[in-house]
Amino acid sequence: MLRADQVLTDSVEMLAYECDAYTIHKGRPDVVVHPESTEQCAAVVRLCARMGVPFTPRGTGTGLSGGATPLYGGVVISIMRMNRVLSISPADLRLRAQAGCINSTITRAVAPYGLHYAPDPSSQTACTVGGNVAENASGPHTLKYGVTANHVTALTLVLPDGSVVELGSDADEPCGYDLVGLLVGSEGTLGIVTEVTVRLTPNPREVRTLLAVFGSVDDASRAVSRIIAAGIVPCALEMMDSMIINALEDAFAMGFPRDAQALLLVELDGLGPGLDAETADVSDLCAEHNARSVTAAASEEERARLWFARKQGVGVLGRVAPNKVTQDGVIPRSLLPEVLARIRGIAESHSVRLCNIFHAGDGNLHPCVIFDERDADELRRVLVANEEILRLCVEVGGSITGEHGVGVEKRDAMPLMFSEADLAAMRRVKSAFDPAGLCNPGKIIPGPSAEAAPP
Amino acid sequence: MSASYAPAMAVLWPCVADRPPAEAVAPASRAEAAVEVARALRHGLGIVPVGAGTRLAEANLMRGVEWLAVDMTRMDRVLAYSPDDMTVVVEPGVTAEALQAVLAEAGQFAALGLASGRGETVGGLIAANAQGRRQCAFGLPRDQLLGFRAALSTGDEVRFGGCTVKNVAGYDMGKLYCGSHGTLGLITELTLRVRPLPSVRSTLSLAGPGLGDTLSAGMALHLARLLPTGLVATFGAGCALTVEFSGSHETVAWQLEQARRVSAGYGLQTEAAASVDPSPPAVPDPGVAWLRAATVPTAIEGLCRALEPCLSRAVAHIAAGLVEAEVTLAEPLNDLERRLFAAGCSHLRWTRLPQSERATRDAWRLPAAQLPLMRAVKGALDPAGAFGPGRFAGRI
Amino acid sequence: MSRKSPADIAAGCIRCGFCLDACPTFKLTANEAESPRGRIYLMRHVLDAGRPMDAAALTHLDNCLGCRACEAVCPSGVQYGLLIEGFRARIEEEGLRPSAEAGARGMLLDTLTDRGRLGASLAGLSMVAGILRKAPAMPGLFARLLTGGQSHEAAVPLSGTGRSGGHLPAFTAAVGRARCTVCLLDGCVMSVLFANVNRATAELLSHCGCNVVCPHSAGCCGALDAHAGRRERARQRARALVDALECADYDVLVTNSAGCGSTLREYGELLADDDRYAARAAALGARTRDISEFLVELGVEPPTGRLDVTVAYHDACHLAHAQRITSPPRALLRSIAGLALVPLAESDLCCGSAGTYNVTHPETAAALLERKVANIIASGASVVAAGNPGCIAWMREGLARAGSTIRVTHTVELLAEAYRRGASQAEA
Repeated sequence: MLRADQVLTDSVEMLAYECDAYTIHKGRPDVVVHPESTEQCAAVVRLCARMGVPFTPRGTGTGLSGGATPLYGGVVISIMRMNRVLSISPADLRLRAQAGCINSTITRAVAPYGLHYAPDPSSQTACTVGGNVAENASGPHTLKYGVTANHVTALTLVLPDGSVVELGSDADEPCGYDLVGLLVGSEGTLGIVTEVTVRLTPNPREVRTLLAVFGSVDDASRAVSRIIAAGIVPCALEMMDSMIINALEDAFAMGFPRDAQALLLVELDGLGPGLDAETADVSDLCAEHNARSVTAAASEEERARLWFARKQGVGVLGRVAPNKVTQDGVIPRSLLPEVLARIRGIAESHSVRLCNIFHAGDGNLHPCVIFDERDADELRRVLVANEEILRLCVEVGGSITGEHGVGVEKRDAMPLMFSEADLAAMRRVKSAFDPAGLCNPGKIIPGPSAEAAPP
Repeated sequence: MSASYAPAMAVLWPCVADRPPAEAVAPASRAEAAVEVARALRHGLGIVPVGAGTRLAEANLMRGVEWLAVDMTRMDRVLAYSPDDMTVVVEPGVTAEALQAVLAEAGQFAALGLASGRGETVGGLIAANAQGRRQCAFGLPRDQLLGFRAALSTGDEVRFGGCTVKNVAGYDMGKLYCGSHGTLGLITELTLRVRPLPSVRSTLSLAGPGLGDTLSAGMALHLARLLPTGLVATFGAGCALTVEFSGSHETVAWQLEQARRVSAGYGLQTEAAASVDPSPPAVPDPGVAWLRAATVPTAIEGLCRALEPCLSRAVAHIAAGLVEAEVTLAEPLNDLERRLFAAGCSHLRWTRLPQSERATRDAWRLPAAQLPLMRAVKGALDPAGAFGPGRFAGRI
Repeated sequence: MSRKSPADIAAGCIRCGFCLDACPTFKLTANEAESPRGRIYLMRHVLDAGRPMDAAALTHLDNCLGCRACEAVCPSGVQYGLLIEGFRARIEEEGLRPSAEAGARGMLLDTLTDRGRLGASLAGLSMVAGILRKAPAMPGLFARLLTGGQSHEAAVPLSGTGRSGGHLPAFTAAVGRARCTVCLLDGCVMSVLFANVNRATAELLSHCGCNVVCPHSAGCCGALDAHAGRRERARQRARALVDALECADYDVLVTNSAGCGSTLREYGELLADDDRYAARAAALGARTRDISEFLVELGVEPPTGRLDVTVAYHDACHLAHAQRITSPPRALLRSIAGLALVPLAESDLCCGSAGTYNVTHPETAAALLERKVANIIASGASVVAAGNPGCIAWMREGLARAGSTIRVTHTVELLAEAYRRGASQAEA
């Protein structure tokens, strides 16, 4: 079935697989396998099904909610050796890849055709398209171009009984129940996706990237609300606050003003005509909200540099404190100024260090709380503040997660958003795919079915 | 029962079932809808939600089931609209026109269907996952839906998704309900994303010399790196290529210019009267069938060629990879299906079939391997099997 | 100098996973324990829990090439190189290796870093490889590697000094008015196997207006020792070099070996605990420049001679990742008229040479070499340029085995040749 080098069992290796980028919950697998084809993957799943052993799919393990953590041990099925681009149809804007293909590899593969793959999570140089499908990943450019769910048309799925089914097609339109749509964002709990057909996006003819510097977070967030309300659809609208700015300065000497309280990174794209007028509108709106300066990237290098800063912005916190929790709440966009102020209040009342770097344009907050887990009291305060921020997001009509997924991290917060009837319906859907409950048990849905997971 | 209801159902019921509904009701609120669903469950009735009734014939015929028609058109309120958040919460019975009128006041619109003048409801468009020309720019109704409530056959009302543009909490159930044709529950509330209205929308229609040139020009426009908000070729009485652009005056004018230049290269120069996409009647005509064939742009021409022998009229959504056509029954439909699949059709639906075909032909032609999963999903969300039993693909 | 403890360095890893796709061993195996993040996790387990290191963990740490590609992509700035070298030191100090293997490793390192012994015992070294790992193809391959520096250079059809081996003169005067004085280290491996690269470097510097001093009292910089975890040995060598160079009068210390350059720059870190040397070592590090970086900073006139050749540039790990030098060598190559610089896929993926790694881990090294060779062939180049002797020798070996006629050369040699041709044209 598999060669020896495709199966890991050494206890040291198992240790390395006990979590992904979310480390608070852990689970040590008994075996890790590296299938190299859908057939091999199915064979492994069939064996697990026959023996009643839980299994958990895993890509690069960049997930932030513990989706790839084998909570109940068993087999971790790594898709990392299934990493090839299988076919490209430029005129149809389609690409088919194995699930372990790295996100940015897709964009690189289609660059010669003037195309790209739009979902661009910060981890795009590392994360896999299969992982993106599992988490319904998104990124800065999601604001205009949509999330993973809007860019996947077909999947090859290994069902939890080990059978293989092709879902969807190359066509835009789903047929029958939109099972592809259900699978995207199902966090590897309904089966293992081994191949994916994605929609490609033509590169914009023209891009304008602006950096607006603000003296207060409040001004910056009001500017965001105004830009959205003005009917402008930037392709990205990102905010970074002073702690991030200073960490970036320390690490990379970006040349950002250290005394700025917020930076807005605004990107507009389009055909060319009319784009400058729209850019000027954004610039004016920022100025109206007391932006200290608004500058446009003068070259592709400058643009790349600004995006480098944004993409490194969370990781750079590793230089500030040993631990961090990145939250992922979403709120209605008009409430941005108010909610950011309340989050600041929560942080202050619990004396925790909190910074913000997030997709302001779609209201997806990423408050990062940084701490040192060796300080027990600080850890306790961080957890309390976290919980309050989650509740706040739900209270104002938002969601506990915009792109990181529920996983194990936010499983027990699901009742904040969903009734028992809602959760029961989700459980029934899970059972429809995975009656034995062996596929990535303990994720997403709290309550009886999570607890009743296999030994 | 609403006063206007009975006559419509008197005409429409053959689109749904082999017998008229045992009863027809028109709830005015979520609470009333829940009461009606509970009552139907108690009496063992099948339940079929009805909006404007324009797409009832798209699903299979329900046979041997006593049923309740639930007219949703009284639940037609816009419940909450936040222009600054670009989201709107509506009851499913609101018509697309009425919703767009409300949104337009704030300079916004929902990318849901074209104003067809047929009084289609938002709930109906979601249930049919039906989109018009603008699919190529904005996607399908599935891409507009942020959250919803539904009454299930468990007796529960559930709520999934939310009211934010990004949200990955829990399974994305909305995707399943889009295109489910009322077979997974009764949708009682919908939250949609809306978009800023462009300052200009402008359409260019050009008469095509023939199918080949018209589609070639269409493909050239698809590949021209423009941003059309509609790109269709219509066939029937002559050929026409229609392209719509939206945005600022400047971008629209520039794109129209580019489009004229590209099209002229294929001999399309004469402006035609603005074409209307042919759309099937609510009640199927005898003697013709309508189909909706999904594929990829490069296979559109092949599909159109395959349709030619029995084509009466068609619209090809080039960028979206979709052909909707009215075909004569000059040859067995199986032969036409075979030709279409040989030409690269991914899957198709018979959206109107003459009564003679309805009993025997599944309205969905999709890979049979997917049906067991769909049946399992149906079982999970409609455990009592109350919602339009037999109406869905594979007679699920 | 304030120094982070290994535990603090390891704690900087937020497990984002950015490093995985940059890591050669992870790319080959897809095994988390063979990734930087996985290795840090294993090290943390030892550091935080105070557990002893077990043999299995040791293997995963040993398998690391030390290429530091992970550092270049790490947003948290985890100093992985320091961490892994520290652990390797601990492995050596705690005597966790089987003694035969430890002995062979030591012999290999001693020989490579000692000019006299290296020259004398090239043939005998192939035995070492045999002791270290069961590698069927290895002894012969290793011998060719070590002699490759000479045999292949003989085939380089560039003009020039032609002669291999031998020391640089103690002083080479600048052509024209001297702009500065540069100290060039003769090196250990470089002086024996790549003497003509050293001569080309001196010639180039002189041509560009630098006086070049080469203190013969200076020995090995300790890079190979440091990378292999023999930190005490590396410190001894570093102290000796600091002492030796303090007698010399120069502005900038220039190196043409990426591995040496990165170690020299980190001297401050290496000797941070040594009160007598810490500041002096750090000062030496601050004066160190790679030749390519130095020439670009200095601002030299482009060569006037033409080289009609298609070149692919390979990013040596210790240049691209450890020193973050990627554009200066390319800029210099582009400045040569007629030279077409073509992209090389995965140009910054380790070729497998990695100091002594190709001897200690022949299978992984060979797999990486195979990948590198395939990328080189696919690039369409007829010459590969690189800035590190180990890479050059190793890629020569790989290309020769693949039956390719593509030449591998030091960036400096192409530049020197272009200047030389320009000069002879001017004379003619």
